[in-house]
Amino acid sequence: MGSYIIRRLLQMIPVVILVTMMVFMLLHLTVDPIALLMGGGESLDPEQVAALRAEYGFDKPLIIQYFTWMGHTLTGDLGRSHKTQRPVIDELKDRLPVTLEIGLFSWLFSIIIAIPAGILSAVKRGSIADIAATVITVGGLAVPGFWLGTMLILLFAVQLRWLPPFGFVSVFSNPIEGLKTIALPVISLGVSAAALNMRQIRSSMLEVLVQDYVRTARAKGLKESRVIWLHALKNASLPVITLMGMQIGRLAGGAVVIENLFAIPGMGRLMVTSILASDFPVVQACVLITALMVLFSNLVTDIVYGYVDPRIRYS
Amino acid sequence: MKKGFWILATLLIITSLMAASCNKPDTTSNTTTPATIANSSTVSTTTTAASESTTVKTTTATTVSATAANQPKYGGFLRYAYGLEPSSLDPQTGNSGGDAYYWKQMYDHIIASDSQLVPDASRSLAESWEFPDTKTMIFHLRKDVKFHDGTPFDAAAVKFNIERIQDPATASAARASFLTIDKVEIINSTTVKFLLKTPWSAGVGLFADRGGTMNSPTAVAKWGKSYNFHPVGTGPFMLDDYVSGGSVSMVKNPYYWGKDKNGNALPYTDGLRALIITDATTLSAALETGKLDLAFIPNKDVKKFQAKPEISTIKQEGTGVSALLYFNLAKAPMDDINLRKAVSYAIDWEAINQAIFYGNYSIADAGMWLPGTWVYDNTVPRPQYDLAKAKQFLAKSSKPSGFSMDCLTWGNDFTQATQMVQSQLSAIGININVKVYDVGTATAKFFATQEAPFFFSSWSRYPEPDWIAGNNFKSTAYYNPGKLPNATVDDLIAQGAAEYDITKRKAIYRQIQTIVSDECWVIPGLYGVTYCGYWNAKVAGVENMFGWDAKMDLRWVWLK
Amino acid sequence: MNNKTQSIEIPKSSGSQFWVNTKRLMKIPLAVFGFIVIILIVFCAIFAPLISPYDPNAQSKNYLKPPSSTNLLGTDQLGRDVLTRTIFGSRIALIVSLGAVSLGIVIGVPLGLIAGNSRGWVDEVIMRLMDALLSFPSLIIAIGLVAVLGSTLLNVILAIGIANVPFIARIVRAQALSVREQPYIMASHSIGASSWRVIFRHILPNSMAPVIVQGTLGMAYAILTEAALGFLGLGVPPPTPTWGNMLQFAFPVLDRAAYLSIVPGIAIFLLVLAFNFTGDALRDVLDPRLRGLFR
Repeated sequence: MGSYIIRRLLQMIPVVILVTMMVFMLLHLTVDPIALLMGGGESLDPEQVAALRAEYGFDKPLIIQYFTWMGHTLTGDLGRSHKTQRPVIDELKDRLPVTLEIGLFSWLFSIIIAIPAGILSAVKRGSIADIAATVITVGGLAVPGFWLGTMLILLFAVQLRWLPPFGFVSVFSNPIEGLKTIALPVISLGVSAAALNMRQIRSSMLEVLVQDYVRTARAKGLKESRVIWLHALKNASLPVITLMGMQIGRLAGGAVVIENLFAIPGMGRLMVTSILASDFPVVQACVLITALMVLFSNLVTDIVYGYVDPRIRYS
Repeated sequence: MKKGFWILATLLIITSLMAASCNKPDTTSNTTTPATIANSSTVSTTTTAASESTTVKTTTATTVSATAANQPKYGGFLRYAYGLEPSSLDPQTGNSGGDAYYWKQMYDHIIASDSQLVPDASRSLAESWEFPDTKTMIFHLRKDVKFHDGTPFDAAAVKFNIERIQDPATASAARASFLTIDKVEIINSTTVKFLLKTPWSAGVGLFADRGGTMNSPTAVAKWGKSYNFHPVGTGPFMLDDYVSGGSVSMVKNPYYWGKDKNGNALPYTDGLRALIITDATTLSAALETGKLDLAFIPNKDVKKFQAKPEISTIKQEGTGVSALLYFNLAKAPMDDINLRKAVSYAIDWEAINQAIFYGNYSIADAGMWLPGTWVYDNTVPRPQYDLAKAKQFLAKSSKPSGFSMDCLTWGNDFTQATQMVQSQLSAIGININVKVYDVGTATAKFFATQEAPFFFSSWSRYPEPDWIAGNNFKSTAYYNPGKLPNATVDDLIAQGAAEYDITKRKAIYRQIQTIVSDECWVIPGLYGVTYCGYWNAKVAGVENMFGWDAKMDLRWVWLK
Repeated sequence: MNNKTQSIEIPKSSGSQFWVNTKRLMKIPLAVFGFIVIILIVFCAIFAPLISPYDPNAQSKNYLKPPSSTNLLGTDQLGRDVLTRTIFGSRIALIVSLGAVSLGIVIGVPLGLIAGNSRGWVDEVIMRLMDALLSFPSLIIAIGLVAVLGSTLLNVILAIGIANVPFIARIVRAQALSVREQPYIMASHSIGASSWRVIFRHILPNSMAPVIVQGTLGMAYAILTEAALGFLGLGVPPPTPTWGNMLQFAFPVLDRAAYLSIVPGIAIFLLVLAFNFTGDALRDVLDPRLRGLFR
């Protein structure tokens, strides 16, 4: 097991290097960042521009800039925002926990909704509950998350005034206020993941429920709930785990739009404002962290998969 | 030719008295309905509880002349909002006009000005100043002023700050104009002398902006590049906490020297909490539900808030040239004056005002100098919406059968407004391709890399006319993308900057305004009018809060 | 999912198979619903100028008027007819999704074939590239590319299409690998059949079904991505009406004119729903083994 993890980590290295190259190249194809620094509303003169260019190393060849950036990144120095001069790491310290919290709760939301609903619709196949669950699944997959968010704002914030339409309060610092502010974004972000999970759980459960060992368990006179929760669900969970792992990337992507919609000061919002302002160091850091999170969650998924399914050997 | 400062000041005061007065509170909705304000103040992760202990409880001064109802009360935290994230909290290094909503609360100026841009010694770090000749400025500094970190403010600090601005590595937006200062001499710890390269009447007004703010030399050295978000000034509030994209929290400066006109110590509140809310609907909702005490009202909701008894509004006119068309005078086809005129006459600004700004704004005059300042002059003629005239100019031009060009813009409102310009210009056969970027990119593409002849943008309120003329009309100016040499205008700008007599200055800027308008260098479209809403049962003292730049200065505000 | 061993159908003359599949599809009610919606929206897109009541860019002084008899779905902030703009918006939705998926196929299929056929370091390089691409959430790739390249129709298609490439490449490579393992392919190699022949005779036809399924579902995803880009102000620029940019300009006035946000959202929802139904049905008919494999 340990050697498997190490091998997977080693395999990740070329991918990570490719990721960093892609991020770096993409952003350096754009306009001269110094021209943008000049145009923020008030002017700089040529002397100041030259000083800045030298300071940021924009006068050096791209390849040198790449290795300089990589070297700094490896030592934990993510540079400074061009726009605010703030160390990127400080910026991320403010923003990343917000995104992680929203992401975590969306992920939990998708699971809490999907597992009971998926099981119910599989066990009571063809019932009203099954049809209702299927309709919601289908709808959840087709609705744009940000549009759902818009409609939720319209209903719960503008019309009913039950929930705040914007902002962010951490659930960990103020549970009640926190849950109220993150409810709408979490639903908007989590709904498509919930739909996917529910569909997957339903179809895996349907497959498992007709297997021999389930029949055996029932024949032994085990309680139906025990059969479902212990025997069937454990075996049906394999594809679900894969799916849940894959959703980290999807949630990270969705968070970008949702954070902008709800004015949540997270990393996704930072990414968009920084991309628009061509604030390279910040964008590079955000995209890199997102990609690493995705790669890491894939790794964790694989490992968890191994624990759940002993048939998989890591040779 | 020696002209002392007091002559200038007197003239400024007289002119300002004649100028239209703004800042009158709108009392129509100012009823006394008791309002319950939800006290759930946090919309961000941090709390202000920890910082409260650091504030010094100031006992309320005894009433001098004010009535009990108007007597300011001390204490409490004021929550307000602004729509733009700060580019820096250090005024000298920031480059976004919106930054002032944050740093203004934490800084004083070596010469501060009132809302008409008239210098006001009672608010300034210099107790008095004199100009022995046109190229010398002497400042007598206030004694016993301390920076937030406890270090003293003195002549050495002034010298440090001016030289910091002049250092290209600081990348200060104020540098170009401050290069006029040749040398800063320390006479003694409270007297400092500026030797100028050329006469610089504009400097007095410019000291009231970024360039005149004073940072603690100790703190600048300590924080280095990170100083941007660890600002240490002398102002009424000091930074408590900054959450990127979330909020700027400030607490009362226990060392603060400023007093109101009755001798009460400023500021009144224990602290401020500025929320960064970029969306109009959410900002309105936050004010409406009492999560904010005070905020600018989004255009679409002005009428809604005016109808609410518990919320009062203050109207501020001329907050900027809030819709402004720039031409690149050197780039075809806009190098043809007849085409620029055709465009100028073809645009229906009132329609744009109604559709995009809900009729709140006012149609601009010919100039970029705004109502409420001494330089404002509405007698210079400007092109009015007139399709027949537009067609005449088009017929006279090099492209009588119409043409196509790119127009750059940024932001939701301007993107919508530019589509209206597009539709209006198509009526005379001019086709516009709208290209939308974020504000920084669009500005750079128009002014620096000059990728389009036409730009829909804005210019914030900046009453010192030399700043506007020097930045937009000088042939070397950044915001003059064509950089066509115009000796007459350059000469007039130089004269204006050197002239200490205000009536003569005004005449010079009128000449510039006439040339610019005749030749259609820019088309000022709409002057901004903003409404600041506040909970009237809770907030008071807002009458004085707007400065010359139409931005909030919250040292004057108190909580009931 | 039932079975780990992949059985490979040896392609027959496919003319009759097509009709068999079509008949099976027509028995799935949701697929029929999907087809009808898609056909209706394609019809709207093609004949937009004929069926729309107004010019999509014609402005009027009727700013933000709610639905009425003159403007069935109301007007926007510039006094333009929302029904007309929604109808014209279907053009961009279809062009972008079709373009993005085609791009994904045009790039992804050859990459998958090369990787699957060559193995070794070429395979390694291509697949690590695909892994790297997959580690970016597709919306983030799209935002980044559009921000850098500029928001034009072509760039939007490119930005969304790139995200489709790794999915297609992986499918095709997997097919190529499994086909290679088949005894009859090994046999045909041993008698000297060129690898191109193997590709065109065996791998490509076998890849068709999963690529079509993935493509159809990719259409739905492309529409959602285009809408998100438009909402962030990074989509096809105005005044061209797109559902995404309609939502962008509707959001600031949500509390005054909710219909502006509701109408394009429903249009997106219906078209995505239709593509999802169709894709699911195609998968059931063409290749049931693929259930649950894709995003």
